[in-house]
Amino acid sequence: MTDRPPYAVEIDSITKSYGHTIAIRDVSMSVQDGEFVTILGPSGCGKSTLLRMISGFADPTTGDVRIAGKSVVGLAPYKRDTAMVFQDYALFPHRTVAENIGFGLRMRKVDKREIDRAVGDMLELINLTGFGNRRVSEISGGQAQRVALGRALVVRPSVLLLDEPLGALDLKLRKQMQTELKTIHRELGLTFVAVTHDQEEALTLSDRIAVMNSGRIEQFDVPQTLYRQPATRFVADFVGGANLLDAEVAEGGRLTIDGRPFDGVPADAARNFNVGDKVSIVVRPELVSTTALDGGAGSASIEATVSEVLFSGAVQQIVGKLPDGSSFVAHEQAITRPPERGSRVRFVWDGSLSWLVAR
Amino acid sequence: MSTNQAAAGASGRRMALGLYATLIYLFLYLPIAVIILFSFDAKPIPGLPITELTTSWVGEMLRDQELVGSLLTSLRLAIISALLSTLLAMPAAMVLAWQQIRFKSLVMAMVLGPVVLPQLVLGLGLVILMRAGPSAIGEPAIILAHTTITSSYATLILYSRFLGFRRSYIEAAMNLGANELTVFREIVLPLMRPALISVFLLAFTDAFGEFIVAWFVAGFTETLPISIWTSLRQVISPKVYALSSLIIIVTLAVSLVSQLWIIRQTRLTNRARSA
Repeated sequence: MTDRPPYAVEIDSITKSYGHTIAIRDVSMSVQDGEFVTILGPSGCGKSTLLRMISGFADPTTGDVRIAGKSVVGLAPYKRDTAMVFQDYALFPHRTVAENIGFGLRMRKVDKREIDRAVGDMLELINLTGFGNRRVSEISGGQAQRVALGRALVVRPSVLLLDEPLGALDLKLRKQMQTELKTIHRELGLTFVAVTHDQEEALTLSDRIAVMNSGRIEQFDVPQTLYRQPATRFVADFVGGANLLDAEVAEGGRLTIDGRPFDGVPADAARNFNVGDKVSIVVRPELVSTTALDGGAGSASIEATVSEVLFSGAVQQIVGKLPDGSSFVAHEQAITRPPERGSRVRFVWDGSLSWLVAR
Repeated sequence: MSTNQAAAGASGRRMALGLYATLIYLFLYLPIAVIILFSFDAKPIPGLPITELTTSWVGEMLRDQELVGSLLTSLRLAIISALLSTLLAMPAAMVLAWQQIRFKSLVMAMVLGPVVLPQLVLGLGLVILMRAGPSAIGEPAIILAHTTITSSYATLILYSRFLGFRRSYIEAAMNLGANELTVFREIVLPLMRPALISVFLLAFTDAFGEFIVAWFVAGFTETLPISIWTSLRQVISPKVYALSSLIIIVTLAVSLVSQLWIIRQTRLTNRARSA
């Protein structure tokens, strides 16, 4: 019935190479209409290149990019129905706030009165009514961020692209803008594709997250799945931070660490692995607590020497050193007295909440 | 006591610095001051000591057809040369700054050629060239020579300014639907205007005062420097001093105002940058 194509953006097995270096290797992903998708990854993973290929500032070496069902490869940026919020905002310094917001409409030859009305509405949406005649140099960083957002939103693009949109803001403003961004996305129902290296921001904002690492998408899923059932060791570590215990799968789904049996993780966790597979047990720090060596409340546990105790308000971080030199972290509620540094303790957790990834 | 000594040392250093600065400015401006002073000397052959002051030389100078004629010629030629060299330098600088090109440092070094070359050599070269087109001798040749000289450093100055130009402005405009031409008109040109004007003014003053190369190819054209040079062979008339004073005052005023304006513009854009 509806003639809107189901996918706002389709990235179809694209590869991008610069000379001998390959920035993107055979990446495919589809963004549904109205979805908020974040591409998450460390710097240099290719996420910005991906965004630039959607916006038209780069073209794939092989593969296809489709916006609203139509291939846009080779199409100039100004002929694509995308709008972008730049990392440095790129507000035109020689124009006022209102002129900046109206720029896209003016380029589309919209009637002058219609532009004024749309700019007024947009200023209201981004809570900057009355700021229209300000020079760009006269507004704060948070306001500039909202103007950049408004300037892109006002043209009602098929896809709104956000390049590290909140990266330049301080922590408090960033939290506030996360909420605002989420609200605006819900109210307008537009498709948002963002790029960030901040996993917390990605988890907070997105309907789905594509985790990228060295030119590949490691996992593309909803935040909860990404966090609870990471597909790879990289995803487990990058999203949310995790303790990774290297183990091996033995008969009957049992696990061994350094050849010794490790109990507590249900055999069901290893159902996707074969005997002899090298795996890592993913244990989220907030599920772990520490007890004396003879105590114990969880089904899984490991002994370690406390190397650091860090207090950060609601949570105390207890860092243990394992025999192989790696760290194991527990985030406990700061209501109990933390163990002494240098003491031997037992890190315990509910093994049924553990997840296995290949290594 | 030691604090007193330190204070004395500090004030001594400050005094030395003040003296040094005064000397430098004296060194820079004394010749100019002498010219301005002599233009008010009542004697027909100016010289020290000055016994009587007059402003009549300014009027005399303005009535001197030859002098005013050469002034107007110089102004006209300098404006044309500065305009041409700015127009030539801008696209060259854009390409050098924004495009990936091979042997870039070699290209840049060669752009600098006409600046580092002795002007005498350049003049000689032009004289030889003009034999192929003798009809160009005179105004066209002067314009050509001054455009050559000024466009080389105009390119270098604009190159550094284009290098500092934030590319995301261009991308943002394109992203919002502006094609290349619109981006140039709406974004690049307005934001580069201070740089273009300052380069134009620099090229203008240089072309206006350039003597050596112009001398080689001028033919019967008399620019102001040539006309002053010719008058040097006889007694320097106080009218020349009066004209020089006028030029000095106008030039200093123009460069002061333009510098202040450019600083103000740059500050405005910089503030937006840090936002």
